[in-house]
Amino acid sequence: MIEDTIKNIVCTTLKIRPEDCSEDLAAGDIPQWDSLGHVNVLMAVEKHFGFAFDVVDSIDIESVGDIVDMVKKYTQGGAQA
Amino acid sequence: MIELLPQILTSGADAHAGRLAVQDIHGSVSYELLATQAGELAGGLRHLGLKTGDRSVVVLPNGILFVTAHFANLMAGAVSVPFDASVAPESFASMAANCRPRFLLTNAASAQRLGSVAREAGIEKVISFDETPDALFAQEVSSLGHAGVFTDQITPDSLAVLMYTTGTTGQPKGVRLTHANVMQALRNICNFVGYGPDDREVVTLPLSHNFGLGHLYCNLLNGGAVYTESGLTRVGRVLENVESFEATGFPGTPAGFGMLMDRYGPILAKRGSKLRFSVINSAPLPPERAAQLQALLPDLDIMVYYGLTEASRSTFISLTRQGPEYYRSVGRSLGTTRLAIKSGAGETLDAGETGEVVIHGPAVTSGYWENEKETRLLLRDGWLHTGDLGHLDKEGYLFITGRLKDVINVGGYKVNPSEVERVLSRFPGVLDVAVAGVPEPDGEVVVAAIVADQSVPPDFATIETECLLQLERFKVPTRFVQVAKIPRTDSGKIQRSVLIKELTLEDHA
Repeated sequence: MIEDTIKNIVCTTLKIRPEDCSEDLAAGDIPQWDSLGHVNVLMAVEKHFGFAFDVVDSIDIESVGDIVDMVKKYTQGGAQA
Repeated sequence: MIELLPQILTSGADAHAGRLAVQDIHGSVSYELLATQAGELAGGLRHLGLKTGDRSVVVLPNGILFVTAHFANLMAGAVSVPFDASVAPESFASMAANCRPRFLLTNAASAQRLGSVAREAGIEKVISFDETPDALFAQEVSSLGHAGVFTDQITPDSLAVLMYTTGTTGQPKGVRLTHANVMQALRNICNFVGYGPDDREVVTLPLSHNFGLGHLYCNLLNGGAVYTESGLTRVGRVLENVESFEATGFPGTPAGFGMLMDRYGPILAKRGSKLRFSVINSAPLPPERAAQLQALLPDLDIMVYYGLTEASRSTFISLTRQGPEYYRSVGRSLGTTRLAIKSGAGETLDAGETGEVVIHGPAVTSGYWENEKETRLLLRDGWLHTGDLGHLDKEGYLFITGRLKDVINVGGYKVNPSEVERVLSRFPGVLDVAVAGVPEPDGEVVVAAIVADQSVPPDFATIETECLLQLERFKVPTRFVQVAKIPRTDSGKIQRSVLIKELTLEDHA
């Protein structure tokens, strides 16, 4: 479920089609996912889930899969939300 | 003394053979290996028929292959035409129709993407650094001829590079830069920044533009090294390299540093603590951003300069050394470059008076490739007319205040959009902003396009009220439009003509 939610946020934020958004899709792979797009994606995820990533956690997020893993870490125990 | 660009590599190989020259995400090369590989490819290009003065395009992302291809063109005696790796086929076609290149050096993805456009434009050979059926394989091309430097007929006044600039108006123009033009700009930078063999820079700026390419050249001229990748998208990897590459320099744009400070400030402070200097350019660095960066990295020497592709690095200033009083200045002229401020009537204005910034000197281009109309507008009365508005103080420090063509005419009152943008950019929730004059039946009106922070959306009613306290009434935008992105050139300058079209279309939607 988290996977689908994240993909939906990424597609909406970057204005791409769901079929173009895999877990491997990463920053820099498409023109829309540039440095500004990256920040927008992270902020949209934070807003949706109601927490802010710690800067140390967010610095190495590069792909859709990374976001999924990090959100799971925040929502299913581990890091502080 | 080095007078030709290929000598940067050949002299570097003689003086610093085994030292690291360039590193990217795939590996690294020494000066000797870089010069050898570029020389072999140059031999192959000559074997395939590339002649002195022919144009040869490079479409590659930042990396060792870009550096190899660009220097191979120069070593072959050709005019190198670097282009952004993400160039759209239409822009590529427009450039190719203008300068009629014979060769294209690229990778498999771009060979496939641009192949048909390149063939239609008459490009004879497409050479790829990856094996692909769409192009000749660069490795095989390199084994075809005799490695060497084919610059017998090249002088410092020969054309070295054509840099295409979309400028802020949208139509690409090929800026002619001779070896002498570029070398003078490099001497200016090296003298001011003080590059040495221990310098190492992380360059994420596009190498297809003067800003990024200049930093590559300066390090190679001085025995330094460059780690390069395209952009700040993989921000973790970039900042990791700032630390692990032991970078002394990290050039960037105000927008890039703004993002790094706002989102990753503590990590920038930690991983960038050994940085000696950062040159920041492509758009004005807001004073509050300069202060924020200085507070974050107290030992960092923050430098900014003023230059166009047409007149690279005409001024320089260390904001750190000059202090906050000069945070709005872009510095004083360098070397034999001369600056003046001219009135609309062509009179030279005194210190403190605002007019158009004009430049004269050895780094100034001789004009645009086969575009006499634009060249005549650019170069008049022995001066390069920048189209920028500014003034000099009594000590010769230049202050840029706006763009001549961008001035908005509100019922006879003149509005400089940069002034309004400076005010708007200070409000919380405003990530990026551009102001433009949108035509309406009764004349132009001031419209602000704002990229909003989704987590703290700006309150436009409050912003308007605050603007009325800080600006004259006619300067306050009549409309605030939330947009996903501000149209900018690859180097970060606002494309106001594109923005006006978008805002006008929205009016009629």
